[in-house]
Amino acid sequence: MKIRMKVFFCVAVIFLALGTYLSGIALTQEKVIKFGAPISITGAWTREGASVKNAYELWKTMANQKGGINIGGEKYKIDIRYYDDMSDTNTAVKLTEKLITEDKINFLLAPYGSGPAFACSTISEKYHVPMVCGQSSSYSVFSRGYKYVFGIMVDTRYYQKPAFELAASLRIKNVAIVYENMIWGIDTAKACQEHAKKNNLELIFYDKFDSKAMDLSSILLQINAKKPEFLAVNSYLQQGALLARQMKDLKINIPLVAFGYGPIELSWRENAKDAGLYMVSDTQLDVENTTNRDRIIGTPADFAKKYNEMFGYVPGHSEANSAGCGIAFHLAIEKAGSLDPEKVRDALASLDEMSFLGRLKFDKDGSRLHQPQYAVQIQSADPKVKPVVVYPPDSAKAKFIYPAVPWDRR
Amino acid sequence: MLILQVVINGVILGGFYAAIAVGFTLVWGVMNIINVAHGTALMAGAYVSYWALVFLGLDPFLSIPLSFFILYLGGFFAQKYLINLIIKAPLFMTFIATYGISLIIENLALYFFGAEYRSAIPAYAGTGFTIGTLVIPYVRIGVLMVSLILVFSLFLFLERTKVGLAIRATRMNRDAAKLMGVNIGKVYAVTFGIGVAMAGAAGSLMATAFMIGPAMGGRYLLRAFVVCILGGLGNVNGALVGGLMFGLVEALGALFLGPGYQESISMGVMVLILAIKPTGIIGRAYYDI
Repeated sequence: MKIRMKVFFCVAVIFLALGTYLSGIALTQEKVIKFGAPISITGAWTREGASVKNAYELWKTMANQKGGINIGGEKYKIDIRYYDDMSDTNTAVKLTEKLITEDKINFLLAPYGSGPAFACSTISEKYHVPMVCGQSSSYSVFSRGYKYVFGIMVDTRYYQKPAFELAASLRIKNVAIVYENMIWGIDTAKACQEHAKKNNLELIFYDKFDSKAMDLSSILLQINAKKPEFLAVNSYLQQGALLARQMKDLKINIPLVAFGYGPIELSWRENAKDAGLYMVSDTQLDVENTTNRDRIIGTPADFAKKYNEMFGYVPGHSEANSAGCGIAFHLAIEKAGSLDPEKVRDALASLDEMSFLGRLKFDKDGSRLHQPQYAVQIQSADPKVKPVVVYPPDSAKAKFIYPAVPWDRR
Repeated sequence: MLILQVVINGVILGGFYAAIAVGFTLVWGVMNIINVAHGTALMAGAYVSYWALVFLGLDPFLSIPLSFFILYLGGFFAQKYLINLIIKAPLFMTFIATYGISLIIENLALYFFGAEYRSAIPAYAGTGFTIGTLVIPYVRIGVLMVSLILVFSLFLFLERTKVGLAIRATRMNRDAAKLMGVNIGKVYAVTFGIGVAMAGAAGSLMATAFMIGPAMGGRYLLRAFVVCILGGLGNVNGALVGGLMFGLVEALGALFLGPGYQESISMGVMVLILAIKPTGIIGRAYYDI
């Protein structure tokens, strides 16, 4: 019995070793490009991190289904290694270094948010590894003369631009600007100041609020005391929805309220409830556009359909921009015909190709050359109904409702 | 009138804070455990209300007893079978253990419910009554009322019932209570259960006004901690006083010094209280008595 057992174990070990060896051969036969991404899988940015990861996965799936990335006639499959940065910038920085030095990834896909991307880009710069950011729009990320960081999203210099132009077209005279006290909010608010100057709007209130505050009534009451015609808010989802609801709570009527981010997201509308009605936001994704197309994902409508199939909800421009990181790398690697990071970096810098997000071309600082933006307005109290494009006039799908109906008449 | 409106908002906000902190202060004061999973328990309570709304159509205010009961059971058994194993270990060990529990619960929520923000905010949110130019939203005044009821009920429970007496005796002197026939293990399990149940009830209250997500607990945990320091450790009334004070300081600080400094002002007041009166405004560390 003992001898039989020994023989059994010997045979099992031989088969195991053989299996491992053969699977190793199979793996090495399939050429792979390794991407790395620190992602907020847990912590405060869990929801946002998931949207980034989903978009990367969508690009990987669609690209691999079509054979992968073509380098000099050879197809390379895409593999992405994720680590949870726990929504902590310091952790994201450490993980970025680990991805480069230990996991030997070829290229970096950025984490969620301007703060983490700002910090991680220092690591990518140090090791000369190109990193493309999908949901990091703060201009501070690109204004430091770094050569290895690129951004897909329209950067903060252009946020709220359509809303300010819309306000000027309505002959609005003054504006109050408030922002969440984070790098993105600070940069967007600065841009709003510039838009106000360009559109001859008098700035009558300018202040920040805390990103963890559970009550925003103090700042709202101070804004209300100034009686602005236009309120420009620059905040993330939670605080933006809270601010909209507390405007309704306190019955603060402002004819035009615009958010740099929020109303285009379903979760924002679900949480703002009917308080979000008539509020305005930017979007960079026109799902009905059929001229924007690439061979990997297709059109914006194809992207939205595939994303909904894979993850069960309709994506906004944030998810689209994250998928755009993959497309930018895909096109640049094929253009470079190499995995050499310097060549791919140069290919990214000189990229000029059409994609489902429109023209992919970067400025000298790595930010994306300005793309068309649209102002959208929430015109239904049902959060499932998407906001409609109301500006610029040639793209408008509905008439802009102005001024917002006062709370006591709704 | 602006300042009066800010004071009203500060008091209402204080009600939120009292609800968040009362369970935390009870567990810390009686058992000398800093329950890092308190925020996560609050998140679980918010999800109970969310699912009660989705499947049973229950208003979040009405699902408070449900989340209280479910979270009580969770807390009772977590203490009895997990935390009790290291109850005599240094404070740091229980700190780590509750941190581990919080990570597990948060990740389970992430796995089963997904990362999406959800909302259980009732349809009547945004309505309220007005007195002159003052506006008082129904939901927020409802939260303040329920918070007061929760704190007062817990106070009565501790003062007027035999179990409450056992809890108070245990927090004053564990060995003496044991000699008097108090089952310390059971008292700890009940205390932890009540603390977690209070967090669950607070979670249901938060669901009436804020977004729900697996990671929401962190922002509330810090506030519970500050309220405990302000009001005094282990003192139920202290949670109410600390909560109201915290709410008022935040609201008035935002008005006079700027909304961007809200958190810095609150933390500054906490440091000040620690320096002047380390036991909190009306509290004492019962486990030290």
